[in-house]
Amino acid sequence: MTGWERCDMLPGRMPRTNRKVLSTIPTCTMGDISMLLMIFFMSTVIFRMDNGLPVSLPRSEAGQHVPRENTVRIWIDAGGRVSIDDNIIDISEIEPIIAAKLSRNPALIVSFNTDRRCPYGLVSKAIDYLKDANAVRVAFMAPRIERGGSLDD
Amino acid sequence: MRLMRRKRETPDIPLASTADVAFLLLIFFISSTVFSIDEGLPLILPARGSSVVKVSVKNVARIVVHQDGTVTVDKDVVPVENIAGIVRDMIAANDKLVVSLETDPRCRYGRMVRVLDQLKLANATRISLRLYTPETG
Repeated sequence: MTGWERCDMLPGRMPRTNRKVLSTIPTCTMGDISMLLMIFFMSTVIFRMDNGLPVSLPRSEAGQHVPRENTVRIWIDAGGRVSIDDNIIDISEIEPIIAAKLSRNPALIVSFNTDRRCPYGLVSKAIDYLKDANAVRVAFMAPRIERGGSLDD
Repeated sequence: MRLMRRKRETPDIPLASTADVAFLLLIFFISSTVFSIDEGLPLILPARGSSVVKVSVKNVARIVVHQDGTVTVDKDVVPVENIAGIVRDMIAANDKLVVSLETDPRCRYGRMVRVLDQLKLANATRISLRLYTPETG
């Protein structure tokens, strides 16, 4: 029971009508909340570390999420240039580089970020070097069509 | 003589709206941020020197991607978008089916990924990647 109801019940007294109920939402903590969110997003964001080569990736309908952890990216552009960790390398250097990475991390996944116009022979050669390095887990990067682009190859 | 003392106005920047501005910026960045997600077609390759598994010819579906981009499934030319349906039917008829994807080295990589995508759509798990040479064909 509140005081207001008790007052109403008193005999011979008119109910008070001049009392105003404040209906405001306190907004003085909005700044703190926005700061908190801002700090959260600023601290959790991860920036891409390697830039790779400019490639036009093929699109897919059945593309699956490839975790970034344990992943090394091989970039092959339309002109046939090969890059790992932002270094342009010769295709034959794939084997020692990947073998070294694999010895440090046996769960390594090699992802091919290859331009769709690149001849397949080059990719096949890179796959052969991966087999030599015993890197068997590969992924052909192809973002899903829902994210834009066309399936045209 | 009494001089009227001038009331000095204190300069003041209204700070009441800073929270609104901060929220506006926050909402703008939250809604305009696109997280880059890595998506691709994963595959497990056979290791070099691993034991060769002999597969019966009747359990192999041979898909060839030719230089000009035409695709043949067991020597029949088929449109790329039909491959998923064809392979799905083949797997339903024979669950031991191994799909051998042979690609011409001069063919565009995008074409091979398009066919591999169709195989993934058909839930084909046994896929073998090979290089197509006219001798093998």
